[in-house]
Amino acid sequence: MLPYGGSRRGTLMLGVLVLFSFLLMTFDIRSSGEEGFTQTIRNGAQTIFNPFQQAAQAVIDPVVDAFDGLANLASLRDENDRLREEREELLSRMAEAEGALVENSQLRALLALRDQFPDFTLTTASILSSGDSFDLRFTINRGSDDGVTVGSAVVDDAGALIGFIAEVGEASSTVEPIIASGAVVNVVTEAGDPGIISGQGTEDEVRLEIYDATGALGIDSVLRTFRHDDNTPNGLNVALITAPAEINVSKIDTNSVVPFVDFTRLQFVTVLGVPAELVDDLIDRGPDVTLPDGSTTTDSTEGGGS
Amino acid sequence: MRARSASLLLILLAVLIQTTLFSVGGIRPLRVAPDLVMVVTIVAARRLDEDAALLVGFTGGVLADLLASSLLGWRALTLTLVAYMAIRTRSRLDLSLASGAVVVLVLSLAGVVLLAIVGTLFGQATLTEPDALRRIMLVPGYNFLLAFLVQPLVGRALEGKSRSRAL
Repeated sequence: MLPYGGSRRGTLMLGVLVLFSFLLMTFDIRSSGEEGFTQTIRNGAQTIFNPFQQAAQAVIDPVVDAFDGLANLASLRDENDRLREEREELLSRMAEAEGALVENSQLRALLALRDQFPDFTLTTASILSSGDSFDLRFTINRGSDDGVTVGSAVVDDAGALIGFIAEVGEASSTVEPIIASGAVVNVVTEAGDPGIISGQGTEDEVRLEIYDATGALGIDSVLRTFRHDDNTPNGLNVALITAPAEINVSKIDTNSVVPFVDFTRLQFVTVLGVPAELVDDLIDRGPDVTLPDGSTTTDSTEGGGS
Repeated sequence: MRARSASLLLILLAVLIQTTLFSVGGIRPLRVAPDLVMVVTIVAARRLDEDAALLVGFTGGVLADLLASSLLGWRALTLTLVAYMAIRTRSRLDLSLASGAVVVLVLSLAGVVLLAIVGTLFGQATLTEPDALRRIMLVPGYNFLLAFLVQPLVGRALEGKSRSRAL
């Protein structure tokens, strides 16, 4: 029988491990945003675990599909009656085929995004893993080897904004979704009022703040990206108003806003990247300069262009 | 030695399942996932010697941190302390499957609260999120149910089939 209570050696080991954990947290916080020690370890671990996670995902996907089917049992009852006679024979095939069809339709929709974003490179990725209920960030199976860069916008198969790339490894990247605490997106209403959407750490609610509102917002008003940064095209669907939002001293501040993306059903995402030649062009070109005759030219001495 | 190796393999498997089956798009009833790594840590810690139990908690936590891309050391600290609590609450008597699950429920509640507090202190903003209370209530409940499945499996893996028993 194992003893209960702790020995001196055990207490010492506890102290060492707790101290080591604090050191890891400190290192991680201090090297945040840099390619430091902790990021190297993280990349290594993710590289090692990637094949195992992908293999596990292949086994787990049918289980998840079956679980989803159970959750939606009531709505499928009529269809089940009609298919009852065939069910015994086709049940095992259906589980596999259903998963494949969903995957196929999502991938086709992602391909259609190429027409929507002609100025961006599109990288399709599947979700590898995510944290627990306290951590809404998730990992995708594309990294710097695939041209993914920090800050790139991530959209779903309908082109709605999911979030932004927060960290990039060689073969995987971390996405910070717009629903995560601290995530902020510049948006514009259909009436043209610019505002800010901020994540609340929950999948079904974000916060909208508009400081110079010109009109109240009705139900189903759409909020789209607007001048967020160079990596993010304007006009991406971000969120929907779920209850009328009135102006209070020229300001609208409401939590009755849901993200456009259904985060509970995400399997595939697309990363929008700015082509390298376009970035180089922007850097090399430098600012426009107005000449004495009123025409404009580009100052090629800026930005180290040649 | 066999028990130590088996426990490390178990915790690796638990992390793999946690980051795939219970990840975004996976099984998350009411949008909250159970914490399988914490369940395995608690159940294994009650069957291993102290050093091994603490190492299982720490290893599981570090791996979960690395694969979830969250603050490195956050879960490592929490699961090490949860493993220590499991050691300290070890009973001299064998517990039934149900009472073992109750132990998992209580220690999971402590673990989740600790996770939220440490996360808040280190800027992960968990206690201030609107869903924090729901998660704190649901995760231990899910872990309680998972414990009925995990206890016999961990028992077999760590003690061999002939000595398999509930907590």
